[in-house]
Amino acid sequence: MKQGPLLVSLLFACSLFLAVASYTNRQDGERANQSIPFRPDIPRTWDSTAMADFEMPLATVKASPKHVSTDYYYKLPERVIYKSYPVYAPGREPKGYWEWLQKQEPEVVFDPSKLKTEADWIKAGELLFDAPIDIDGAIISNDDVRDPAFYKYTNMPLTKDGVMPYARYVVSQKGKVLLGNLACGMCHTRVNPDGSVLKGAQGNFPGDRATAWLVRRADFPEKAAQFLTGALFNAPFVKDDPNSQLSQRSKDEIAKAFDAVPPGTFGRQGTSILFPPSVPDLIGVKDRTYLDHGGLARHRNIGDMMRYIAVNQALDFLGNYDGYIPVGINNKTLPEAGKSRFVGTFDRHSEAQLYAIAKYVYSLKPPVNPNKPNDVSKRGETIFIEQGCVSCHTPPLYTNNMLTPVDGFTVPEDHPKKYDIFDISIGTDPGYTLKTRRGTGYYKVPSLKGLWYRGPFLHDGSLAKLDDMLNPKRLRDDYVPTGFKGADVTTRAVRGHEFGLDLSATDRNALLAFLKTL
Amino acid sequence: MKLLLWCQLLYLFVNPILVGPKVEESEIRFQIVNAGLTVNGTLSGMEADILFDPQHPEQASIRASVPVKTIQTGISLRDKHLQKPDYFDAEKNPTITLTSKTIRKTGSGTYEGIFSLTMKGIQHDVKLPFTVSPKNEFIGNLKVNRLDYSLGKSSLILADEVAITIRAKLAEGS
Repeated sequence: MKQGPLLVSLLFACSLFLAVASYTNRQDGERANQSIPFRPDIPRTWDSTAMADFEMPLATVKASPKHVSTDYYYKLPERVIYKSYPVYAPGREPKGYWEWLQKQEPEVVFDPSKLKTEADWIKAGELLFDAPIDIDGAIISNDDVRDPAFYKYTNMPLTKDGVMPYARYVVSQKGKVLLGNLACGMCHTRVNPDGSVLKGAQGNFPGDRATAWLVRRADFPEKAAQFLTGALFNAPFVKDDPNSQLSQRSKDEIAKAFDAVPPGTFGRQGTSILFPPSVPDLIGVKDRTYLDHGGLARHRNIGDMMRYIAVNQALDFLGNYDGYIPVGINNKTLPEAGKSRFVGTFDRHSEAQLYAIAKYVYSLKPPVNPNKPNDVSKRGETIFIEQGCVSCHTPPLYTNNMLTPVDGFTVPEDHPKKYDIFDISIGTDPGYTLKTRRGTGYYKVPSLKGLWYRGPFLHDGSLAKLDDMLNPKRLRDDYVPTGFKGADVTTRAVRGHEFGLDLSATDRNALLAFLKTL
Repeated sequence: MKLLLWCQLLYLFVNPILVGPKVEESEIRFQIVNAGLTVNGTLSGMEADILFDPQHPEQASIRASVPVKTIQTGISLRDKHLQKPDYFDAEKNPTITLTSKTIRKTGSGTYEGIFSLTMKGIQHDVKLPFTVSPKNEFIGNLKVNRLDYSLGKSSLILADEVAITIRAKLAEGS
């Protein structure tokens, strides 16, 4: 009897199943009711009335984006979600895995007609959260993820099982296994130091280093590097726009700028790698009233969350910013609906897909906090109140869900009545919110919940550790930022949010102990 | 930041003289509970015009004002925030004023006045009991609801009620 090959096949199948299963976080789906029939009331995403006031005006008001019309949006074809598979680092891939992938049939895995309960929708949303919207190598490709040098260059975090969890293989055609990019999970997945995975948390995909790796390739044209950088970041309505200047520089200078963006921050489209945003923690996002560091998008209901996902995946590339369309024809004209060649702009998620993603994101729960309250942290809580932290970081959410203006921006007279404005600048770097396509002139007051598993800190990730926030040396020009520094920068002051800097060591430690319990 | 505060006022005192006495010492303190802890604050630089005869308090006239910019709560950024439109809107309303409307004697050295208190351009009548010592020291206490004056918004953690203590001592012989 030739049982050997059969046994090997069974073992391989089992190990593969376990590997895939262990990578999937189902805790939230399990909590949702699994038996009561659920008939979702799905809002219309690109509702022109809702879209009209979904976003705050930009700091440069005339450049506030005019998004594509409702007619244009719904002419875009819906995305088909194929089954995807984990990517293993070289040397960690189960034997025969790659060959096994080649034999897989394409399988469409999202079918709303089969979703019967709320738990079904959340589970489907998790699948969509991890589903790439690009298989054309928008950031990384098969060549990259199968190359050990790529992992070394990017210092790519891996799970305990050797999985690179930020991208997945997609089989949309039998025998054609392609690396999928730009799932929600690409940015919003965190690998902890112990190799465990925290989905929805502040992600730590070294995405900009991966882009630098791409740009540095000998066969990557300088013009392409400039086009990519421009499409991602140019904000020509800003006076002396530093992003537009960067996108005209040499390939090497552009690569350097991408290299300078550390994991935990990310030069998402419309932001900047000169003022990179830290990746937001999605755990608890259901309770936020504004989205993005600048509070660009309002979050009034699940429909707004769906709009946010649709805009960011990635119809804002077709937004009109005072005549500038990032990936329009000659930056001026919209391509025919569905004819754009830029990732994320020639198709769209279906309403059901967006709804399922939103349900999943809403269901995210924080991991169990190992930092239990004790006498020291209780003392820290008192300091937290005494220092006035509670006014902005108000319990129980540890944010007041308001927007603070930055230095250099004057709050328009009508804003306090229309938005939630906390009219005082805390003096942090205003670059992101004054010099990008997402800049509103404000920063959102962030929640402090989950600080213990997050980092780097501040809106631009300048400080790697929580302790650094309370280090008075960070205000000095000879300070070496522990997080984002900027290309060719060795020292610079990290100013703003100058609270608690004069605490005694004992009080500082108590405050930190309290913050880590949140 | 926080809290709000306010305060103001004063009054004062004595001697049946027509010319207002000089305020030699003054102190305005306020307290508000924030997240379960009491925040203490002060205002300074009070100016006052006072006509007060202890024997005829009903004829008294007291008008006091204090600059909003002098608010101190121990956290400079909070003090700065209190100047903003969501709190005192100091640019448009730089002072807090207190003006007597009626004053009556309630006991030996004790009085009660109805004052017009204006903060952020909003006026309300407030009842202010106060004492006058033989050394011409006036001390009064009152409580106000900050929301009556549009000082900040309703909050889960910041109390509405602000307790205010006003102390003024007139110069000897004034």
